[in-house]
Amino acid sequence: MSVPLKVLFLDDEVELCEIFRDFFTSAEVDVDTFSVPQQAIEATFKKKYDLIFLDYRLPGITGDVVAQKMPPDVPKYMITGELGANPTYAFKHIFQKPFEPELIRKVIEAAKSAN
Amino acid sequence: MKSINLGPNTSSFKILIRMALLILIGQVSVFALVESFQNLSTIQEFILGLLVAVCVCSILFWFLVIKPIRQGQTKFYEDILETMTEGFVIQNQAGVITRFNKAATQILGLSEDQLLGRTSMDPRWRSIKSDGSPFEGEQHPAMQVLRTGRPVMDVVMGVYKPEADFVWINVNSVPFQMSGSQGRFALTTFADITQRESKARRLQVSEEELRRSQELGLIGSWSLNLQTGKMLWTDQMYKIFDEDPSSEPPTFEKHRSKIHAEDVALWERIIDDCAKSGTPYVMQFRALNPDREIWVEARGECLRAGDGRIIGLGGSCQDITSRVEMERALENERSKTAQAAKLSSLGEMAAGVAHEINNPLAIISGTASTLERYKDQPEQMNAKIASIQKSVDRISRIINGLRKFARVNEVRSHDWQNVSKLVEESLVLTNHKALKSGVKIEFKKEQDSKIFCDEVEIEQVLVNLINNGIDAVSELEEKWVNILVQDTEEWVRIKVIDSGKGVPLQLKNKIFNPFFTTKKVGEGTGLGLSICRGIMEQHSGAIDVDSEGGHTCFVLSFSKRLMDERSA
Repeated sequence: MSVPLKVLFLDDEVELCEIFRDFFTSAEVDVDTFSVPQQAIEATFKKKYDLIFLDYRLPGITGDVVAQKMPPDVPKYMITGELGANPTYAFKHIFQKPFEPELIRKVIEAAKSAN
Repeated sequence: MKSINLGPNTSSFKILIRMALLILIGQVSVFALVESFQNLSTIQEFILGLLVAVCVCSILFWFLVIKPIRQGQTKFYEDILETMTEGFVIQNQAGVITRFNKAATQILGLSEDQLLGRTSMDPRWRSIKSDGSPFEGEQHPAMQVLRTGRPVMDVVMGVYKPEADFVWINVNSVPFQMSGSQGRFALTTFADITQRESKARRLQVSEEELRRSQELGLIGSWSLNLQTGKMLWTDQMYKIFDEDPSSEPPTFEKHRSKIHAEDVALWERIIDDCAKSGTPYVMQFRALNPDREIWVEARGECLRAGDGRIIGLGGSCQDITSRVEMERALENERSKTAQAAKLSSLGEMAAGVAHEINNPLAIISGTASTLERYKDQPEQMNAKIASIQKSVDRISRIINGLRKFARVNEVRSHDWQNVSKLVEESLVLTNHKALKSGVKIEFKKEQDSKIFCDEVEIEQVLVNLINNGIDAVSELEEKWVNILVQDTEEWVRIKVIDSGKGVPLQLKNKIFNPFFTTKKVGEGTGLGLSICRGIMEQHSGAIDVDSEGGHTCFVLSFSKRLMDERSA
């Protein structure tokens, strides 16, 4: 059995973190969720993640700034409720809230097969 | 010159003695004549003797009585001429001064030598008329009298006086025949009216200034005598109300008829109150002129007699039409810009609000799609449903907040509102911004404070102040905005304090001006605080900036007394 895919999810809405975990956690996918940006940044240096999903509007900081502080080689996606968010970081894709779980599942599946 | 009825100045006693002496001589002569009658040879000799006696007596009478009396009278008249305060000159046919009195030299400021022989045509008089124009020598009263033989009375003339500018004299001149001289003379008297004239001129000047300032300021004034009903209008009143000044004199009824039908009742009540209780007034009314409607600012007060009774009314009317029109245009412009500012801040808010709504929407949709998994776990299922319900409530609250802001043109009413509720509802609309900027917002609930207000407007003020606070501190190390409610005996105060370092003293008065902003270009319209102030003024409240513990503090003050009055 291969090593599970490690996914990080950051959103200050705790309920969304729960939903994300509910949706995507499986035998092949480990999901770590954070609602405090600083903790998420620190975690990326302790553990090698395969995928990172970041909210845009976070307490005192935005998702693009967080992304810049994380290891550059990990693919990062943004999930935002913002209208016309214009991040300064080159995210692989921006998902709009409320998001379609199936679209995110596709990204995870793709990463899984590449793993 | 007055006629003289009094006796001569020469001692009456001397004259009486002389007359007594004469009678004695006469009697003695007659007696001697009768005595000698017997000795005279003829009647002719007697008559001759009688004639001689009469002649002697007459001659003696002339020298002893008539001449002294005449001399006395002449001196008497000369004394009068010398002592009277009016100037007096006699000019001959050629206009040359041949006689004058002392007062003439004093009034004209000339020596006897200078005056004697001078003519009316002499340029040194430099005489002027009361309007300041030159008074030609030909036109001098004495010259007219000499030409026409008719008296010229009451002429006012200014004459150059070497040491005192001009002396003003009131001149009367009459024709006069001098015994023993040929031709016509002019006898001229004049009184020094410099003081009276300068007062009159000052009055004229101040009247002229009043007229001019009334004309420039479009102010007319009026007075009404309550006893006679007589009304007076200044020229400018006629102009303001577009009336012909030469038409019949103004009446109270006419004054009343000029006022717009919708304003006349108020005007009457105020005038009536002024006439009865003496209360001065200031009011504005519209007046109907033949070609247009004008706005008039009227001020008035009562006029009292010495004993305090009200005997009349007096006031002013100022045409303020252009001011009112300008204010309206400005107000129009202001509300348009305010509307634009509201829209632009709404735009900013909409972006944030979308985020606020999309988050709970994500929770709803996410939770809903996982519900299926929990169909056998009722407790879990209920928790998920509660989570959905909570998110729906969250969205409703936000939409509610927005709905209020959208009702910009609705007529809204004032009501007693719970201050904490207003603050919390405002926070719903500012939370996303605070979150975005990492600014911590603190608010301590004050359960019982209530203010009488339009909730939407006050929320608008609060949102504005909180957003300003967030903007002000977003780049500082220490980022917070605190909202405090203070409830004292007289006031309810809402304070919005941020971690900034206060507003510089020199900006304190400016920050409430429209278009004043310290934000970068494109970040603020500068209308926020001026709109806040406008709203607070409509609430009989106040907005001030202060510093609290070295931090910026905006204070909204609501007077409890005024709120009670307004809500009553």
